[in-house]
Amino acid sequence: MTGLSDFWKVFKRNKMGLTGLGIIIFFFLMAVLAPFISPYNPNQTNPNLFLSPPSSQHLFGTNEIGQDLFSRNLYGAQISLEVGFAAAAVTVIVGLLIGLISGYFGGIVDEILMRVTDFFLVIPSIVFMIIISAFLGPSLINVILVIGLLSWSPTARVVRSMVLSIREWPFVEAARASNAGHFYIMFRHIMPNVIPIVFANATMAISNAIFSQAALVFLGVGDVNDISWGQIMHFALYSGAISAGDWWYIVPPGIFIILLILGFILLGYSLEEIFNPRLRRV
Amino acid sequence: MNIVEAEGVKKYFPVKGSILRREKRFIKALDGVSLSIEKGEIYSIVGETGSGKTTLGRILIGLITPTEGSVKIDNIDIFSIGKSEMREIRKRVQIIFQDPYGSLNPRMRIRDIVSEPLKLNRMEYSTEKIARVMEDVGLKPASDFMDRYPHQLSGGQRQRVAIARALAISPEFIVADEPVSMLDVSIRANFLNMMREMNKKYNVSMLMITHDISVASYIGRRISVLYLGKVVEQGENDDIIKNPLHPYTRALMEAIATLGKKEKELHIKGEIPNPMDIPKGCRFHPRCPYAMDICREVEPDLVEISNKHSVACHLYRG
Ligand SMILES: Nc1ncnc2c1ncn2[C@@H]1O[C@H](COP(=O)(O)OP(=O)(O)O)[C@@H](O)[C@H]1O
Ligand code: SF4
Ligand SMILES: [Mg+2]
Repeated sequence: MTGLSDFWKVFKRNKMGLTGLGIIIFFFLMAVLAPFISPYNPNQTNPNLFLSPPSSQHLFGTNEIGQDLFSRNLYGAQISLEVGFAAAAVTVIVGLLIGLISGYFGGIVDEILMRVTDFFLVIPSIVFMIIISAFLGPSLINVILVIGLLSWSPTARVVRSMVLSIREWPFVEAARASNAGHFYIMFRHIMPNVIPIVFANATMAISNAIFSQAALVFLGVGDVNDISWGQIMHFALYSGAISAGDWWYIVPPGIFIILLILGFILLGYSLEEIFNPRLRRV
Repeated sequence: MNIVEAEGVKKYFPVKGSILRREKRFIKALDGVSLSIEKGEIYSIVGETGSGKTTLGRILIGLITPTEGSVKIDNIDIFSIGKSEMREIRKRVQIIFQDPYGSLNPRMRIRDIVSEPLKLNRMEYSTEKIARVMEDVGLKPASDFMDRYPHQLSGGQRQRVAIARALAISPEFIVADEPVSMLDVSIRANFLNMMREMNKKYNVSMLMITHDISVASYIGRRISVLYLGKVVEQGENDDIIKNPLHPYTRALMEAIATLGKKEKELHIKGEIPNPMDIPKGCRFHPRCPYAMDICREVEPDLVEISNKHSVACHLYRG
């Protein structure tokens, strides 16, 4: 498992992974192409068309102020992916660093870091996110930070347990015998060996972030000004459309969220299968 | 002139005590080992698994600190010097490990593995220099191996990479910790010959650690036999092999004699005892066919019997 081409050779035989990747590419294109393929300006209101059901003019119908829901759903992919990737980046970087330091140094450092990790692992993070978001106020960057900083503990755990075994390998001692410092050993020798698993973990972190963002916005503590699937669902609830039985308002964004999350989960499982040294030895 | 002088080296690893057992217990991995290795010499250490060979090798190049005793590299006492002096010592010594799979980072290319000690020690390096040392150890042509990853090499080739890495900085002393024990029997002699060539070509002293006395005698000019953390016999290769004195050495020799029959078990009873509970008196007595009363009470010293041939056994006292 070394070069990218080696990786692709294995990956392209993995149906689950290819399906996941296909779904992700679909939504990625949706996000990028939204400005070009949307039939309407997503913010343009139409006082004559409140809550109209799907029609050939408005594929997904309109909302309570007459905006085209199809266009808004296309744009919604942007925020989900932005938040997903950005929050996952925060998650992965924090989790990777904590796991590396904890596993490498061991002892009291490990003890303290793992207590903190366990704390974040057991608290119901969505509840915590709601409280902190309500406190910090809604903005995209706050949502990203709150999600990212509350989700790194599983990554830290996985990385730490791998580091605990990698640091005992003879190549680490060989480096030490040649005057390698801690920093060098951690980043040159140990990190490259945990990165693949971190990638698999990152896709899980992305799906988690997409869900959390949607949930926060839906509950009204996220940013309800930017167009996002969570926001569409939020207004579907608060405009009374759901109780009125206007299913077209809430079903498409719900399906999109679930599908995109599924895409990342499928990709994550397949990466784990490919990279996990226990499942597939080099 | 000696490159290495070890004097009374002990290493006791503390054992984590249970709540019920309060007194501190120790694994006595090394219990007073002295030896000196001459410049340019290949010296062999032989002993069963658990006798303390790896621990000794690590101590000799300063990777771990002994509980007691001293080690001198080229007359510098390496455990009483500062950090920066130790960094200088590390530019003069190297180690090769037993496991050809674990000793090379799977995510590094061979060229980066071999050049690593040069880079870490801020020594001059170039592709030509790396290629030269790789070809010296038999990785020919070097360009075929440079950009490969360890998993693309055989066990023997990997072990050659490990030697190339060790030789790259032109060290004065290399500890080779069972370098052939995980290699196929058919390539061992070849590999040992290569090491002997490198010993000459690079003028580097070596400590060959092995559990196989035939390997020790194949390559070592002098041999120490280690048992449970103590040297039980020490001398010139010929003296040890032709005239083994200690009952343990004799048992090791008998094990080679039956090598043809694939039977590699030692002809002595039982297993090597737990180094937490070293037997009183002669530490070999529970397994020794010649054990006498005195052996159960008094620990024999290592004494010189004939020219530079020493043994620790009551059979040879006075
Ligand atoms: N870091 C360590 N901590 C505790 N015990 C150790 C450690 N290293 C080695 N030992 C113990 O010391 C003894 C000698 O080990 P070692 O030097 O590896 O022997 P050998 O290389 O001859 O097999 C063994 O009982 C081993 O379990
Ligand atoms: S001292 Fe006694 S027990 Fe020990 S090796 Fe010699 S004869 Fe055997
Ligand atoms: Mg060993």
